[in-house]
Amino acid sequence: MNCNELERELEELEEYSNFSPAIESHLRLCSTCSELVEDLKYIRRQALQLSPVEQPPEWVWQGIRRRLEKDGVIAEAVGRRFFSPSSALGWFSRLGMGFAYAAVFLVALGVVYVYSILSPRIPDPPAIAIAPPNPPFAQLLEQVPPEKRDTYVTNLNQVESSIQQLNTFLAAHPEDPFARQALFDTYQQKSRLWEAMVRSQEF
Amino acid sequence: MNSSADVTETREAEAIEEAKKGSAEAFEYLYNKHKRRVYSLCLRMTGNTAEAEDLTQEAFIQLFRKIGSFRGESAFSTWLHRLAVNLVLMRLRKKTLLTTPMEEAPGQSPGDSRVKEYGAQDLNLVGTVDRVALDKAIQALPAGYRIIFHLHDVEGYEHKEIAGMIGCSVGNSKSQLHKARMKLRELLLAKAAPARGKEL
Repeated sequence: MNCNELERELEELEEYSNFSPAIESHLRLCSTCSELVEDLKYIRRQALQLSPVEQPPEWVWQGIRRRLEKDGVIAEAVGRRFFSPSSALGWFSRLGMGFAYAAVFLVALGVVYVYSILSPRIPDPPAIAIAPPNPPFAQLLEQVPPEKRDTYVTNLNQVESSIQQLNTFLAAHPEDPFARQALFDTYQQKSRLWEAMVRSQEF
Repeated sequence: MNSSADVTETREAEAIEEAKKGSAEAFEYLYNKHKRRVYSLCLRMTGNTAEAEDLTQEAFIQLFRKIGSFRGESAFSTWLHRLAVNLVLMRLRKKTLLTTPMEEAPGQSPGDSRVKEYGAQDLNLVGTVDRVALDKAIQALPAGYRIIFHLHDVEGYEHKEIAGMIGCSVGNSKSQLHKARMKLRELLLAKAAPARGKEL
C-alpha cells in the first residue's frame, strides 16, 4: 500500500480505529501518514467535544413571543403562571421591572410619611378631584414652606423616575400587565403627592 | 443514578404539555433550555451571526406552532434539532451554497491533499490546538465542507442521514467529510506553524 492508497482508504473511515492489516503495516513504515492519522483522530476527538457556547441575543426571544401572540399560539390567560421563574435568565430580563416596583414602594412610603407629618395640623381636606394631567408642580413647589420643600422634591423625583422607568419598560414589554398596573399606581402616587402639596400651602 | 436528569426530563415534559395549552411561561422555559444549542448549530453551519439569529427565531416559531403534534416518540431536543438543521439547509439551498454541494477546494485533488508543504517536524497537531482554534477553523471552511463536518463530527449525524438531508450520495458525504477534515488540518497547522517557528 502506498500513501495515496492509504488516503483513499481513510475516506471510507468514520473513526480511525480497527485498521486493516495493510493500513497498519503502512502506518508502521510511513511517519508522514502516521502523523496524518494522529492529527485526524485528534480533530475528530476535539470536534466531538465542541459544546454550544453561543447564546442568541434577547431580541430573538422577544420576536418569537410577539409572533406567537400574534398567531394566537400563546394563550391570553395572564394568570397562567405555570412556573415560578426558575430560569435565572428569565429573572434577568425582569430585573429592571423589579427595580421599578421597589421605587414605587419607596415612593409610597415617602408619601405616607408626608401624610403623617401633615395630618395632625390639617383638618379633613375637602374632596379633591384627580390632579390635572400636567400639574404645575414647579409653581406649587415654590409655594410650599421651605422646611418641607426638600421632602417633596425628593418624592417627586422618585415618582417621575419610576414613571419614566415603567414607560420605558412598557415600550419594550407592552403586554406586561403588572407593569401597566404599577404605572397606574405610580400616577396615583403622583396625584396624592399633588394633594399633599396643595394641603401644605398656607392660604 | 440519574435523579437530576429525571427531574429535568419531567420538568420538560410538563412544560411541553403546558406549552400545548398556550402557556407563555412554558414556551419561555423550553426556549431557554434549548436556545444555546440551536443557536450554536445555526451559527456554526452558516458562519454568519445575523443569519443564525434569524434562523434560531424561525426554528422556535415553527417548533412552537407545531408543538401540539409532538407525541413524544423521539426526544424533544432531537425533534427541535432536526427542524433547525432542515431550516439551515433550506436557507443555504436558497443561497445556492448547496447546488454544487461538493465543491472542490481550488487546486486540490485526491492524493494531493496531504500536507506537502510542511516539514516532517511540523506535522503533528496533537496538544497544540484548542477548541476555540478549531471553532475558528471550522468557520473558515468552505460552506459545503463546513456543513458536512458539523453535521457528522459535531452533531453526530450518520452519512445516510446527511445524504438524505443534503441530497447527495453516502459516498459523496464520506468523501467530503474526509476533505473537510484534511482542510481543517491544513488550516490548523498553518496557525500552529508560526508559533512553532518562535520556539525554534
